[in-house]
Amino acid sequence: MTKSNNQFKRIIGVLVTALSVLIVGLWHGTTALAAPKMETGIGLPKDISVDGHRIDWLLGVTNLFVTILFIMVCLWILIACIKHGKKHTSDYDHGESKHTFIASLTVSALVFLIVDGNLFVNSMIDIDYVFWDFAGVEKKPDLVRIEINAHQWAWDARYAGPDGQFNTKDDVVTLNQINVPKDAPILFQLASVDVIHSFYLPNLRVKQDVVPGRITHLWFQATELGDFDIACAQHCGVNHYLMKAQLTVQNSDVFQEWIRQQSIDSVRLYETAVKEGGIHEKRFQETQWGWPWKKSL
Amino acid sequence: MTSLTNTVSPVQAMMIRSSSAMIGMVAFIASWAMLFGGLFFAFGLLRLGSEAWPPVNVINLPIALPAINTGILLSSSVLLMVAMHYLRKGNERATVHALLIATILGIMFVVTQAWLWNEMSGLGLNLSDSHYGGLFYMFTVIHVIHVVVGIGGLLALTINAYRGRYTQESHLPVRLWSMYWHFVGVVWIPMFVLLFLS
Amino acid sequence: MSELQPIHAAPTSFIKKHIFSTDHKVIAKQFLWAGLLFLALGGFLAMLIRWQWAFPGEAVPFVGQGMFPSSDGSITPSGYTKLFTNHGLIMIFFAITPLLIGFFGNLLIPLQIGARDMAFPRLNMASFWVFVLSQLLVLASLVVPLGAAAAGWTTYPPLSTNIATPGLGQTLMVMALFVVGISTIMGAINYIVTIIGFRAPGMGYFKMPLSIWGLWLASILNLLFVPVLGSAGLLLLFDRLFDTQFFIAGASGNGDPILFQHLFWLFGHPEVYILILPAWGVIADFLSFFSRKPSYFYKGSVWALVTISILSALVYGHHMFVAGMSPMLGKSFMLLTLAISIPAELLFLNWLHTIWKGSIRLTVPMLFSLGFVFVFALGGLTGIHLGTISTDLYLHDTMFVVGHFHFTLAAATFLAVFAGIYFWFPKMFGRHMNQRLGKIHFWTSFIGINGVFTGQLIVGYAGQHRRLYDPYEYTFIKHLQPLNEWTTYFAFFLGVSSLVFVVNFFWNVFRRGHDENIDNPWEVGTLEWTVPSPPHHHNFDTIPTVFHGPHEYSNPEVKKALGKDWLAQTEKFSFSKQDDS
Repeated sequence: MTKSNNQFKRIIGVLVTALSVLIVGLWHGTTALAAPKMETGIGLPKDISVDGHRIDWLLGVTNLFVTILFIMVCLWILIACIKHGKKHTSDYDHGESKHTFIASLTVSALVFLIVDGNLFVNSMIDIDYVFWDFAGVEKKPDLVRIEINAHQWAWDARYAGPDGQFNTKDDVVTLNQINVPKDAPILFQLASVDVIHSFYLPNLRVKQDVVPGRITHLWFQATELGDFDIACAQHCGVNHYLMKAQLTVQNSDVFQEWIRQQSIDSVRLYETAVKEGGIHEKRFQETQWGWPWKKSL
Repeated sequence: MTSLTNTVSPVQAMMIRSSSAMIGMVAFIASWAMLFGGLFFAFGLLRLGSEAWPPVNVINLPIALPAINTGILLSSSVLLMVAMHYLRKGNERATVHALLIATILGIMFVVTQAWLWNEMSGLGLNLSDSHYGGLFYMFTVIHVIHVVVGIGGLLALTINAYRGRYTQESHLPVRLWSMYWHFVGVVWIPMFVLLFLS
Repeated sequence: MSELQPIHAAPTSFIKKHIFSTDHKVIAKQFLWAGLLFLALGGFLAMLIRWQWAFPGEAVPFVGQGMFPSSDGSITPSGYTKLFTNHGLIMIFFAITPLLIGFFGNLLIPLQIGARDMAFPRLNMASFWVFVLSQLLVLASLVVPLGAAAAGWTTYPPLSTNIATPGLGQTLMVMALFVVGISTIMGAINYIVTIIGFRAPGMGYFKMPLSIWGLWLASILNLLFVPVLGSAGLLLLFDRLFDTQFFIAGASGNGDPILFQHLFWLFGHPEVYILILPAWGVIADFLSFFSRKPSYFYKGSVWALVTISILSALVYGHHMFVAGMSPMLGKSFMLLTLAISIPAELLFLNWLHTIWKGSIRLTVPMLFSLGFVFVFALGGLTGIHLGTISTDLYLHDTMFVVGHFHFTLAAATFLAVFAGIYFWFPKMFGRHMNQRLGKIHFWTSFIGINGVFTGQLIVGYAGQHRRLYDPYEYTFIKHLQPLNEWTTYFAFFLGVSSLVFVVNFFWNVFRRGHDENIDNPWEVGTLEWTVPSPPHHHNFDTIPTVFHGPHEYSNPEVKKALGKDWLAQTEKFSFSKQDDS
């Protein structure tokens, strides 16, 4: 996009009368649609999780129901306006017969049972057995545990390190970068020190508010290698839009090697600080955070 | 049955006004009850989230003085009922006396409350140190604001009763302010229980 | 019910007549002006937000240099947070509320139930002036040091406390909310009492127009739930002003931020129904009026409205699905939320049945009403996605939510407000609005509205989350820029289309003269159309007696006997068979 083109569009957007704005909008929209990214862009972002398809399916089915209902409403209005216009003699019908009552309630109940019922049942299954089943996730063998400390406007992540204990000297701490192994369940405990944030992973279809004063949970299992966005979904102040982190999905052995290396560095850093003593040690300790892993219910 | 009703007799106008005003007062009280309901809900959640109540290292509130004060506020309500009783019987002198005592009791409540604030802040119970202190001051201040409004009403009632404005049949303001005053008293009871007894 | 109502002498001085008036018709107009003024302000802020999403960081033409001099005319991140915060608060509390509740309520309640005025005319006047005070607080909050409110319209603490938003503007805004709440409660008490006590003889509850039902239920919800917001506001003000820590947690306190969310949404969910109930009522009436057909299953609609009002208080938890609530609580809220769709569907079916086999007149109010049904269908149906926890894990706090509530709260309510203005304009001012301009206004704003909010739905579905100064910081949003830009053009188009309304409205308010065929131009039977336009100071010379419901259209017997297809509620007519249930 050239600069002059931008300038042109800006002037159009504000100045030109209603109709020409629409035309320009349409014109621009079609050229934009021709760009390669747009063709895959409308719709859900790429799903890289084991369980995201559950949400995608539920959204898809609901979309279908909703579209059908919406088209019916539109057709109904359209046909009524065409067929039952000014020339049509109006029916004198208060619609207060028992028949009406039963018919209306039946239709309402039917729509409710099918559309809402489907959503309710599947959502119950999803949260009970998958998304909120943190006790079940805890039991999985190759589970990776990560603690997140959210603050204005960054994500700190903490890995337990080889000893498996949090808040010890071999912990690995990262800023705005979360590495996870592919095909392993990852369980997060999230805390905030200042305001409410929301840990949002669009490609994994999950999100969890991070509330100061309490610890919240979130888990997923990634199926694809690569880098993905992590965002803060809850307005958290001026730089809310910059509170992003990167999720890097790695092969298990790469991840294990990474964490081993990082842990060695952590221990060395800690020991240097202790050796130097005094203010160095204090400063080192003050920048530390973390908590003993909380048992999930 | 349509009748030309360009004018309404004073008695009729009063009846309309009084029934509207009573419904209006009930609606107002329902609304304000929800305000206090929200505050009590907040108390409940904040207390559930606290490890110890009262928290350690915080001055504890007394029980005796607030209990006496509760008695003062409730007897003020009772005296207002007495005033209504005399008013309905047509004993205007007794009405004035009962109203006057009710007002004085209301003022006593406020004075005692102010004394309690002074005492507690002197002892070191602060608004900002703990929820215990914060809720105590917040609830009592908001309640006292309502009491002060009520005292203003009771004073007006007393003066008007003294001037003989209220009769056996016509005493709408007395009824309305009574409802308000009883509400202020009723709301105080859960407040007293939550703040001082729990 | 009372046929005995006092008449107050009409005031003569200008101040008593037009400024400190106790006449409900004048107060309705005052709310209309105040609401439209803030609607324009809120709309202007919306345009700036849209500009930012289309051209992030580029200088805003025309107004940029004046508004953001420090950044050479482009919106700053901190300015942006103030924009969306104030857009939301202004629109909800200072534009929609006065228009739907203050304007419709004051105009319709006495006229449609056959009353001379509100039960408490002076309280009514006070309600308006308290409202003005709250608006002044809002305006003050925009210009004070350290800046305007910036914590989002939901004002979630700890963000809204001093630790993150220390500005005086935020404090003033919370105060403004408290004050507007007081005004709303004053109004609500008045509406409730008036409807209970001042209905004309014969005007049973089931003979009231649906707009009155909507306003009445909305008033009851206002009465009961606005104070809950008041309690949250008081707690927040204590946190801000007296250093308590009720809502502050984390490094600087041990309060409970979720407590605020409970109180806020316990008010906030009824609030969305408060804003839509009067609109539903008004539109349900219009659909019947302009289909020349009785409102289908009137009692069913009434019971649907009542059921929704009750349920509205029990579903607020769906705003907090991902806030870390207990699963058990979450599931209960999920079921209740979905259950609300049953009465809503019944209501919707009744609307569709009302227009079916009618004799539809596509007048301007009817166009707006059909437009309302269209956008409300979209808004309601997209709400289903958000009612369950698992889909909300993905969609919560995305632009999909924004699109959904704009369809219901913004698109639907404003179409209803405009339908109402076009419909009752002759009654208020004694003049017609230009119907051709009205139609242009409808079609342009209909296109604009659908373009803007559909755009929001689509980018939200693609994952774009809310309140981003520069969404394109994220790679998964980058490709949505053209779509957002397109949406922005629709928004500007919508903004321009409002000018059509402004011209039409002001021209006809201020032009001289009194139009022909003004007392009942739409040929409808509700009580306000049985009196001259504009009505006398005391509305009804004689308090009318009501014989029929509000929707007596196309009765064959009436047609035969009287040669017209409608029957005023006050017209005595004996039907051969009793179908008056």
